[in-house]
Amino acid sequence: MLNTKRFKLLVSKYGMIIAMFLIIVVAAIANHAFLTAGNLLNILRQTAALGLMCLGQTFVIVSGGVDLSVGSILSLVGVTSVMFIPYVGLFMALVLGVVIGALAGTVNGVLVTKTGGTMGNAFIITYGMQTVLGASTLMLTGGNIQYGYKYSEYYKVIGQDSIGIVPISVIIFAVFAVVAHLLLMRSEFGRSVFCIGLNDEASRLAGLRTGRIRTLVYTICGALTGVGAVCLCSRVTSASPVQGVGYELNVVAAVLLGGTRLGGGAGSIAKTVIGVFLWGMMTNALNIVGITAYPQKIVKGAIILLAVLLDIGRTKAENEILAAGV
Amino acid sequence: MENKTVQTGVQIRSKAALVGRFCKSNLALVCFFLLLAFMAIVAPKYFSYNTFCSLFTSISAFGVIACAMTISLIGGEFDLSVGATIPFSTLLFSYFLPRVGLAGAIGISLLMGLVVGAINGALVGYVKINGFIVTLAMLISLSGIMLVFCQGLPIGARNPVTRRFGTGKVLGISYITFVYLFLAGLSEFILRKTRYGRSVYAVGGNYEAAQNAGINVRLVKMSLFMLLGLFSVISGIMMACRLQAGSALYGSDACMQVVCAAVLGGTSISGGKGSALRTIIGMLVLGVLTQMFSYLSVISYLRQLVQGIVVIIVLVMDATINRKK
Repeated sequence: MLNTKRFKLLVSKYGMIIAMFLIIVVAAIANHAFLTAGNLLNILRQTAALGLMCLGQTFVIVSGGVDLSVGSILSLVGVTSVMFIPYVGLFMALVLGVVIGALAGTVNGVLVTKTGGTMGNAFIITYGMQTVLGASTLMLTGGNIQYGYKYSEYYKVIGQDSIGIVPISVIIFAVFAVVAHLLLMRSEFGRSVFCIGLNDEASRLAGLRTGRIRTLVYTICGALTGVGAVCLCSRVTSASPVQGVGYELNVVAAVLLGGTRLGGGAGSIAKTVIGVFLWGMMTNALNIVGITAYPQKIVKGAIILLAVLLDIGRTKAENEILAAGV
Repeated sequence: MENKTVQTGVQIRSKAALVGRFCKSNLALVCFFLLLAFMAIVAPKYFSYNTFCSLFTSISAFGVIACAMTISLIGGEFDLSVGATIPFSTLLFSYFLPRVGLAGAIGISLLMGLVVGAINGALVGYVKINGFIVTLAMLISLSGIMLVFCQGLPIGARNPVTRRFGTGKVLGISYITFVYLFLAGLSEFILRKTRYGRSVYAVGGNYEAAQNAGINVRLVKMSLFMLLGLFSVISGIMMACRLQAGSALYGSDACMQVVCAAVLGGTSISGGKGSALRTIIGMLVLGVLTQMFSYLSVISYLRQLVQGIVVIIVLVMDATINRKK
């Protein structure tokens, strides 16, 4: 009896990883190019930007919210950071871009706090912000792609160059992942993020400044999305005003895939890092097996749902085992 | 003497409060008349019977899905997947119209909507997954299926009957406007006068209490999504008839617009409060806004921007008012 429960728990806990592993095995058999060092480095390089954005999103989801505006923040930061280059130089332009991302995040945070900080409101407020920021980006550029390499030959360094064999963007991702881990899992601030995700009202009564914490969480998400945007645009050497359209779905999906729970109070940076790499491997595997962009959407939607279903199964199995008193 | 001035002061304040309360509770109506006043100054020629009729025609298709969205928001749920169900139904309808006839095409489209709604509803109502995530996953998957189905291309739908339905008019008022107003009236009737409608309010207002009161809460939640699927298809068919084609782009941006309209009309995002008739006024505001922008030939990005800002302002206002209470 208990063994079947344990088995259920194991399946729901590691089901996603097993499924991913299967995809990878199939891809490796189907195409020998998949498991080569070159391709694996390529996957790392491609997922670094997504990973940075997912780090930020993890903070938001742990705090009990969700940020759907990250796709538009990605476009906005990419475009503005290129537009600044002729005026303030490459480095300062990139920094300013990230600052704009952080500011957009702050606006999100303030608005979500104002509306009470519930999941539903966060969803619709950031959905509205997605429209607002997306339209602003289009108006700012007149719909034109901004070519970073025209302004500075060093623009593509972050996205394309490597130190040794490790791509620079991957190093940036690793550094931010460690910092984010320390901040979320090891600091007082991190614990308060978990607290407001678990129970906002109780945290407020316990003396936490929930509004300030929430605003900070969204700001972190905006800033990390900005860093991701810089890496991504640098890799493709230009910034399109519609670069981030639909990107928020990938970000949320990868975070959930890692096992961070939507609704708040549970999750970790380590899980997100695993989720991001699984997502990157899967996208690459689907490409390499020859599945085109349209059917890929079907698979990705199904995987998000599967991840959530397994999470529910895990919670249930854990509760059953607890109830059995073992 | 002093006492009297104080009293009038109170009276004035209470009058101002009354006006303020009216403005807050009839936000959409106030916006609508402000926009009309603006148009009266900027473009007096705008006011004619025909523009008014075309205003209604332009909002009809999205208006239908706005009715269902209002009902589901009242029931405490929200559906992102309409952004895929509507375009997919225009495609299915256009594809099957010449192959299996009108009734067959309608039947197949409706079946798709109901199946999508039932899957969403079962996952939210019975498996109890967060509605946002379910419909998000459905949006991604269904748009994938849709794009595989049409390969990204539009499909023409030429048929004398559907053309007449989509473009025909009585006294200047288009047929689809009648369909819209009928469905809006029906939605309001269901909400106000039926047992089912009351249980939707109850489930959205307080889930636990509704359950304890013996309402089949799971079934109500599931039905909300099936209704959304049904109305999405009706809205998609109206669009396909009017534009005589189906495309992966028709209605893919509906979700933001209809939520905006519902919220403008006073429907609460957190459930338990709202009205389908007021959503019509919300839709009218958005319709006038669109007509205004195209009349003044402003770039369409600005319309999106304004729409987003309106949603945010209304939500923040709504939340602050509720918190004060």
